[in-house]
Amino acid sequence: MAPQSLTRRMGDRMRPSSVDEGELVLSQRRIYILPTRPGLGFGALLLVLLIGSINYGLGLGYALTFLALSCALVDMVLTWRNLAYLRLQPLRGPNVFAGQEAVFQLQVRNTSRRARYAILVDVAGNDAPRHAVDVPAQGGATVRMAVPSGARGWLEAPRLTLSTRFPLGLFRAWSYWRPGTRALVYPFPEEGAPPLPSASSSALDGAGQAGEDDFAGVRPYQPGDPLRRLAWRQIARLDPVDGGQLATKHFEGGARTELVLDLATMNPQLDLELRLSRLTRWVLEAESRALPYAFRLGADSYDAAYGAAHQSACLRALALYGLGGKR
Amino acid sequence: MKALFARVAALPRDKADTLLLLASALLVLAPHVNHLPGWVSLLCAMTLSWRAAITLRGKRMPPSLLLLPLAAAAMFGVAHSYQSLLGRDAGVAMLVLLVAFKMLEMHARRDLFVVVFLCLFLVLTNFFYEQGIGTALLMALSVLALLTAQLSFQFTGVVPPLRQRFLMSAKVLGLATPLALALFFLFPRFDGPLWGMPGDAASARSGLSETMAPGTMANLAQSGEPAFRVRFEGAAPPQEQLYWRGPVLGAYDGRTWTRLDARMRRATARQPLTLSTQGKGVGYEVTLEPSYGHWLFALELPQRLPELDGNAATVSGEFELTATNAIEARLRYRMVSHLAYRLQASALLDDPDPWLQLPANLNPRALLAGLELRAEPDPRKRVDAVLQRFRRDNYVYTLNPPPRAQRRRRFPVRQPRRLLRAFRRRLRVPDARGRRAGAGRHRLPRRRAQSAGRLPHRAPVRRPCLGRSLARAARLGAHRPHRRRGAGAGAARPRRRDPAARTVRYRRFGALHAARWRNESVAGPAALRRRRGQQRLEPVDPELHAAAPARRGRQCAVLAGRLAHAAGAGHPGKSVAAVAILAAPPGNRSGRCAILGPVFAPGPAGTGALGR
Repeated sequence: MAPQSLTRRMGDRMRPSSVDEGELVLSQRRIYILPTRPGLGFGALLLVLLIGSINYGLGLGYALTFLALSCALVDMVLTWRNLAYLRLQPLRGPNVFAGQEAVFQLQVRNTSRRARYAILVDVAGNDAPRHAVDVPAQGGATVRMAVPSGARGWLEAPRLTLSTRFPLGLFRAWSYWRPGTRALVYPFPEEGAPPLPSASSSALDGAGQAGEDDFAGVRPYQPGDPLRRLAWRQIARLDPVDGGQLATKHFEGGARTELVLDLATMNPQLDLELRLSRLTRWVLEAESRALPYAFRLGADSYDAAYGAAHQSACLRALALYGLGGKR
Repeated sequence: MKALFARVAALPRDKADTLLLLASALLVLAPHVNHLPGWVSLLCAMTLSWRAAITLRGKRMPPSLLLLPLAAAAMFGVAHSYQSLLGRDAGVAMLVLLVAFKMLEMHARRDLFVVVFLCLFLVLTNFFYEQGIGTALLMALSVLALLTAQLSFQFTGVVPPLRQRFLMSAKVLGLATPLALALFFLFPRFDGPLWGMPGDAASARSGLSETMAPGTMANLAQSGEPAFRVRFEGAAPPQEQLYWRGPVLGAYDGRTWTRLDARMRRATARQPLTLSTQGKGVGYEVTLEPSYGHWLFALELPQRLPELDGNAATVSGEFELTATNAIEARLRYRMVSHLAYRLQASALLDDPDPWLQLPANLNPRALLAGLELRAEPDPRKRVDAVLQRFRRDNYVYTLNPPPRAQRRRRFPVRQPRRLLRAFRRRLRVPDARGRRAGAGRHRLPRRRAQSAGRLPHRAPVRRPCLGRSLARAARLGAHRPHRRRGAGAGAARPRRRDPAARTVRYRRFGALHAARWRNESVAGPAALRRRRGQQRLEPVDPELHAAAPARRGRQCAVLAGRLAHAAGAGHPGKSVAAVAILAAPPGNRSGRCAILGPVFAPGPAGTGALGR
């Protein structure tokens, strides 16, 4: 393992992230080819066949040896050709929440008249490639590469290895590709976030009041909820041993105060990431309740609206807040 | 059948690939049935069908616990069939069984490659046994099948149908053929193996050498390498007329046959020969493999010398054809030979001596047989005697002669002591302890012992070993009527001694060590009784005794041979039938030899004295 990671680290250092923008054509210079272990065994077999033919003077033995040797050489060319001049293009990167897997979609196109079989694609450094595609003649295939995401922000597509051993398995041809896509990773929405704030609220704990005219459902109990607001009947239905939980009724509607989601109004003592997670959760919740919400984050300020575009703009702002260069 | 095909076609991909691999292995193993023992073929067939059944039914493969004893039993079987596990044929059988058992043990992707490579090697081993056009086509087909099987395992998603896969591997083969042809024609061919093939020290390969020592090689292996190839213009003569003369080994020193030495060869080359041929000759073309020697081969009897470029051919007096330069490359020459000829049909050879030589350290019985043969003046009768001997005694042609040490004991060995006593009685020669035969107690008279030469006071007295010829010579030379053993003491016996025989009563038995005769072949009394009534033998010229060069401690027979030869030379028309046994006493300063037995020659020519 150590030499492997060493070579990888050295390779990464030697090759600063040179992104292959746009479509990449696997030209001759980009493909490497070496014999595999069975290929080396085949070489040993050829040697043994040759020596046997010489020692026993077998004319047909020479023929067999040279035929096998030529087959191996032809296999080398065919393996190379299986990978050569493929056109690789990444599709638009996905948007995921932190911690989820970002599935990059990559397209492999074959413009020749020869079908390509058994192209193995995986993240560079993985010895056992997980994805295999067959690209038909004049056709294309899509590879879905799942990459785990960590922190929020941009997730660059990793360097990929495309390899093949196709015709006889004696040689392995491979090439590297760093697609020019990146995925946007939003902050992970907080579990168990406090309810949505209202615009006029200035309570320090951040719990605000929206209109409370109509009963709008039951939400999980939070310490500090007035005991009169608990949904006793629901609580009584299920024993805590069997999974019953405390629940609070919550009301909304009526006074229609504007929902403003603003980082600045949140408790500054909280961790920034936590605040961003909470904001993400509020955005998602407001969106799911179809409440128009205004959004203010740093330099971004969006008027109250709701909809997919507004949501993605807000989430994007949340993902890229404080991370330096945008886009 | 259709149901089976339908079932096979509907199999999932990996099972279908395994069946394809089985089929290609079958194609590779099939030609080996011709030369493998029956049980090996049967076992392989059973194993492959077991594997096919496992694949079709989806059962699990057998565990190693079951396979290991089976494999061990197969190995024992091979060792039993071929008497060893090493060697070409045993190795091929083991490989065949290995492929069959490996099919039962394939678990990983890597095993596929092992099977394919082993099958390729088996295709090569088939070429040991046949290399015809059919085999070449089968080879191409086998390679195609193996490539298809290997290809089938490389697909990951979409698998094209079988026909398309065959086309793919045919395309690979087709692209590979031009390069293979180019390499086939351009690659240099080596003559002979890169290193010697393994074999034990006692065995040798039959080949062409200029010496032959029977009994030094326990096992003569036959080399399958061709020495030369012949193409006859017209019909080939029948097998019994195909005699190819190579080196003629005429000189025998008792142990090894070699060619005649240069002097004798010059003599044989010079002598005139009468040769008459009948009919037209047979024309043929010889393609001679390089042997790094000088021998050229031609049918008996070639009309003229072969014409070689840059190399002159010569013929010796024994009709051996040699080239002046060593043959390092393949040669081809055209010859005409006469198969019906008469060589030296009527006349005797001027100088038959090179061919009638008797070696020094020959077995005495063989020596006497040789002398009997040589005594025969008529060459035809000589040849008849030899052929009769071959017919009568149990001569067999073998490539496994018993080693020399054993062979000597083959001749019947009688009790040496009894014969020795019998001999001594005849010759009145005292034994080791100086006792006279027939006397009660024998003592070596010390005084007389010392007179014959210098011998230390207490000489280590060993029982002397005397050959059969001594006994016989004694009986014949002494011309005494046959005596029964245990007859009385000396006085009653008439002593008739041949004055010219010069039987010296030898007192010094210690000197007999110098003779160094071994007691391995002694005639029985029966054979000696046959000598009764033989013709009286004439004495040899006594001057020969003095003329015999004396050697100290030299083996007797050398002198005896020379003496006999000299005797024969001095008596043209007669041949010496027996030899004198000479011994040089140790410490003999005078250089004179004493003769223990008589030297005698037969009577008038034409009568074999000892003739059988």
